[in-house]
Amino acid sequence: MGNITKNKLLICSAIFMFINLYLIFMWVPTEANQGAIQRILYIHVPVSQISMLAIILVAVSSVLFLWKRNEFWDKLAIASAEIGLIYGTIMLLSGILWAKPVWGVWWTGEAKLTTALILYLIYVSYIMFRNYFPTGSQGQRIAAIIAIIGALDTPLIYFAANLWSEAHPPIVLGPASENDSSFSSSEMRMVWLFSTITFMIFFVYLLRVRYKLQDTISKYLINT
Amino acid sequence: MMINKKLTILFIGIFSLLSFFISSIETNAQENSDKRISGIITMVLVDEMNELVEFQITDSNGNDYKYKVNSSTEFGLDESSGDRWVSTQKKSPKESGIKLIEHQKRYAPVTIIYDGEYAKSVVEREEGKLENNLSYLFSFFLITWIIFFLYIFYLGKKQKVIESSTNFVNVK
Repeated sequence: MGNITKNKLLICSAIFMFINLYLIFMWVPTEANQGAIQRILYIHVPVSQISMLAIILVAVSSVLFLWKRNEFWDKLAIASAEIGLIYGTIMLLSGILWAKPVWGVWWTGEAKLTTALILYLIYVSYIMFRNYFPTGSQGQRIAAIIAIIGALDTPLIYFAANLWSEAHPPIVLGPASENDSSFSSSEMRMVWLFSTITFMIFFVYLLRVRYKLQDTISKYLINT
Repeated sequence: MMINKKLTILFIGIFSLLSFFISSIETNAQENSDKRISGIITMVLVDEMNELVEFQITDSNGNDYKYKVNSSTEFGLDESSGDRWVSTQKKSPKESGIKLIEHQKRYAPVTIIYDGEYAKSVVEREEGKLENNLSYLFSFFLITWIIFFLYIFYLGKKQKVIESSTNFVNVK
């Protein structure tokens, strides 16, 4: 049953990815100021959003595990953290490769970029902690605190461009977005939405695969 | 094992599609480059309502080119303060003329994409190099898919190793 759902998710991801590539490269209009490089937005923004959602999922799962003592939440937290790290890596790389041709530099020390880097380091520290520190209730509590700090960083990342107006474009989505957004056409907004759904489906697929692995590891540890 | 085969097919498909799309964009960029010109603004013509009608640019060889604007002409110009002004002729018919006059005074180079006698877009010179950005775009998509590909293979391999270890322990 689990494998069938997993395969369905993989097939669904594949179909969505192909359509997504077509929309990004062939359908959506080229942005007037930045040219072709602006197409990075359709990956950069969705992976950044999912990376931020993943750390919130880690924090909520960790708290629920400490409260309910159900192993499901602990496994979910570890799986979500690892995939959040993968999405976070792509978020940073896409930002760097977008910044160079548009701003002329690979990286700047501005607020949005710095808070995003902090989130990435929180992911790294969470995973290092889970892998290299002893397990047990104290370790799980400390891991939960790291995840909560990461979750607290997400509103800072979201509002950073508006709070400290610098080179990064202002918020284009959500309650704090400005009307004069980066999406100058409805096609651009539609492709962003489709790309977000695509990467969300792929996230769920990866989460299931990673969760199953964590489940197998737990069973192996119990047997030995 | 079956999943790995499916994934290999999936990623080969994505790489092929990506290469095709990038090469088609590159072709479009080359086609567009024939209709692209860079230079400084040497004349701006506005009507009695102070709305931009026409402008002239001079390229590095001293050749003059005149372009008319229509409601769909797009603008992406940097102001002297460093802020970016983005609009269309339809939205800001008066302001577009003012911005071009400012550029003329500052000798700020611009890139024009044109179709016949009409300008389709007027942007800052440095950001008009569409074809130069493609290497960054291609690198990014390539890196993204390599990361996903390697990660899924790593998960699959680790799953297999642990499952076989578990079976070994159970048999023992």
